[in-house]
Amino acid sequence: MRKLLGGFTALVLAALYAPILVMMAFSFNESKYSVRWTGFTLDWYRKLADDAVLHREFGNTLILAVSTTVISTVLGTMAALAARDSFRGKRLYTMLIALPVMVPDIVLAIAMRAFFSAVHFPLSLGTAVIAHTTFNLAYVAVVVSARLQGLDRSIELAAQDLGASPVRAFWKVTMPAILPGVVSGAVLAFTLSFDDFVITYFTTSPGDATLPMRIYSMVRFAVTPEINALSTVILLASLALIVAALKISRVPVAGGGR
Amino acid sequence: MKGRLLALLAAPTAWLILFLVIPTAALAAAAFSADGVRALAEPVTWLLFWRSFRIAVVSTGLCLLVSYPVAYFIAGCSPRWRGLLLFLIVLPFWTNLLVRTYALKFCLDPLGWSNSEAAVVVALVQSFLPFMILPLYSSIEKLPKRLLEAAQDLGASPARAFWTVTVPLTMPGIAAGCILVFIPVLGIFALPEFIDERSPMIGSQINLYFMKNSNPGAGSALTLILMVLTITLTGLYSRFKKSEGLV
Amino acid sequence: MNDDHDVTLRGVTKSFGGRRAVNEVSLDIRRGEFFSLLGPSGCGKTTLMRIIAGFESADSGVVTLAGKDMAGVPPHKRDVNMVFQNYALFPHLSVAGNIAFGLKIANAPDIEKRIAGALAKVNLSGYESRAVTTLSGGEQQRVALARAVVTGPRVLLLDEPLSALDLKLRKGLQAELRRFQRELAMTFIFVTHDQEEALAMSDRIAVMNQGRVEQVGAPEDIYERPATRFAAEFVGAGNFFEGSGDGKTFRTKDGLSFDAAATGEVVIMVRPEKMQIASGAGIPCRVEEVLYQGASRSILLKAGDRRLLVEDANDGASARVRVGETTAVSWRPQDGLVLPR
Repeated sequence: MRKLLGGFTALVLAALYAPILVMMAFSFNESKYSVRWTGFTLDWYRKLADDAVLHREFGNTLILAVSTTVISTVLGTMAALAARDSFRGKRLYTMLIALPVMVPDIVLAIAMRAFFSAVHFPLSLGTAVIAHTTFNLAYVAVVVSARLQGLDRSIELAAQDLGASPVRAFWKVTMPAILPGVVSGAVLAFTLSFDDFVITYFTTSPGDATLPMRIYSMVRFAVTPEINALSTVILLASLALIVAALKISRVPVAGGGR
Repeated sequence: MKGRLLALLAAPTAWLILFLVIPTAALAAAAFSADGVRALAEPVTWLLFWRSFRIAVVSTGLCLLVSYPVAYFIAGCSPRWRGLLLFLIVLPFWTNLLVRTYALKFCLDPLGWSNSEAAVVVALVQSFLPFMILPLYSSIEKLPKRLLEAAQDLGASPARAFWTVTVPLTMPGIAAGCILVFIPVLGIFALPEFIDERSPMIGSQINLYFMKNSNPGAGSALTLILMVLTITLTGLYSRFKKSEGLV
Repeated sequence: MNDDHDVTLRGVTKSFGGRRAVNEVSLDIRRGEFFSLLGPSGCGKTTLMRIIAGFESADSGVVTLAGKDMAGVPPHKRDVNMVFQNYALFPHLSVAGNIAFGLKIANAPDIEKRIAGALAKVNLSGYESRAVTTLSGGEQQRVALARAVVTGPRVLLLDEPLSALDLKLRKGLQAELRRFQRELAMTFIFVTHDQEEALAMSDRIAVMNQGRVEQVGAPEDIYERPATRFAAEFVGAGNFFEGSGDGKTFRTKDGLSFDAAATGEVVIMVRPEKMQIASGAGIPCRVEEVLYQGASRSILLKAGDRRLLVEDANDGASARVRVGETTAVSWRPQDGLVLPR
């Protein structure tokens, strides 16, 4: 029975990875009409390298991801910390924070677009940052909350008992303890933003496009191996990010005090 | 203490009110415009909702059927294998859905397997497997092995033990996985556009209203309905989760 | 002959990764017996029990239940039920649901009546609709018991069922279990590491050590006439003297001597309760410690380099000794049990 399940799992894994691997392989295909393999070439990658607009879009994607990561990590951590105590309206508060996760991303995207349109605020990378932050806030809050739950609050009291002010106790004791969670949340926010398409598509201006948007328009317009090349680059970039994130999360937090 | 709490609450709450609550109100306002109401009156709209709902249900169901054996298998592996397999399953989740969808399209097109609702379902199932496998795995892994032994000891064949003990006790994982897949699938738009242009879902229709037809009112109306629908579903799920009280 | 024995094991061996957990075990367990597998953790008793239940298969040897060879028979087809150490109650079913589980599979009639009957037998009448997570440890144990016996299996395996309970509860349940078993006239195979428990409840005990059965017998036999040093050490306490005897006197390696009928190089063991302290004849010693235990006293003596343990009942018969006193300890020669080296 285990053998059957194991074989099935292998099949599923193959189904998960085969399309990606095939697509990546064909990014080196000479033929434009990507049905048959006609020869090895790096032309499509060269085209990417020559595409100045693409570079700008890549830059946009990075700016968007970094900006929203910074803001949403701060806000999300604050939200998680506030959620430790009980207060009036806490249920409403928790629901509010969780809202972006409870609906498909298109709902959030359109709501933001309607908002910006209603206040006559022109769309730009900035509006996309705002939209992403609202979305990421929830995820960061969830990740940090999970970390907080496992934390014994009495260490904060112990620090205060030993003479630290509440603020100092927070920075010297609580923060180092939850730092892995905060970092995880930040990495999550960055990845979600970097890969996001729907929210960016509806909340940014055509001049401030990002990489995923480029893929979308390329596919809608004409399918060429250039898309394969770009996709491969994006995938490898994601992979590099994941590896880096894993390495960061393994590094022991300095100053934790043992 | 109270002052600190207020300081912590202030910024996120202000942000959310400004950039979540008010936008929702703006959405509702746009939805109830003349265009919006007209769009809701059209039967085409509701046919679209029905089709999207149908696709989402079928995709979620198939995803569950494919994911359960995989999650079960991984849960029974040695810790080293478990870590590796889970990593492999989760890795695609960390990459761009658009890129993965394109990869699927790239493989399906030459085979002539795109351009049908079935193709969309297959693409959806493949794309959302990690979302279903993880919570399932988590639930199955928590199941005490002794309970299955007890069931067999009392006379239940392995199949019977599976249906009377394993499935009921992994319900929380099943429910979580289904919600995690159903909600995003309901509102998805790039994937169906890539795989089969001719069977649009709500998401692609919203895109059409905004980007092609310049009808933000109609688009907002559809979005509002989608929002109400998904919040209701998630709300029901939360209530169900609390009342059962299972691990 | 086979009819008399509910369970027979012949040369059963099971290894895990090169280590023999069960090593050539042969046992005959009679119908209606309360049979205990007693030994320290790692002795193989749990593995043996799981082999009987069908959760492990023996590498070699034969296991028969009521005369039928159980090779290749899966657990759900064996007429054996188990009470698990942590009860393994189904959390998604009520008490009644748990008890009905096996009955439903067997398509038994009058399920509700049988549940009520089973609950009455374990003194939990009226608990049908209770959720198992709300029950105390003792109550859970009784539900597990009811669940296992209600289908009327031939043999009941109990895996250290009392180990999770506190002392007072344990003692009470020991008597209840014994009474329960007699009422049902079912064969019970009881696995435990607690020798007091095994002695109190069993008809026969198999003392196990490192995968082997050291001795099988009634509680008194094992206690009064242990066959091996391990059995003597594990069941009850003892004072051990290694040395040699000539049929009249026994001399130990560290220079003590006393009367004994043993010859050759042997080990003589004397139970603490069989020793008497009285100044005069006997081995000279000094009282090191007196531990008062209510119904008895444990007295630690130092004789030369050696320490001896004596148990004295507080019945006023023997004289009170004080710490630091110099006195002597002796025993009847026949209370010195001879054990192989």
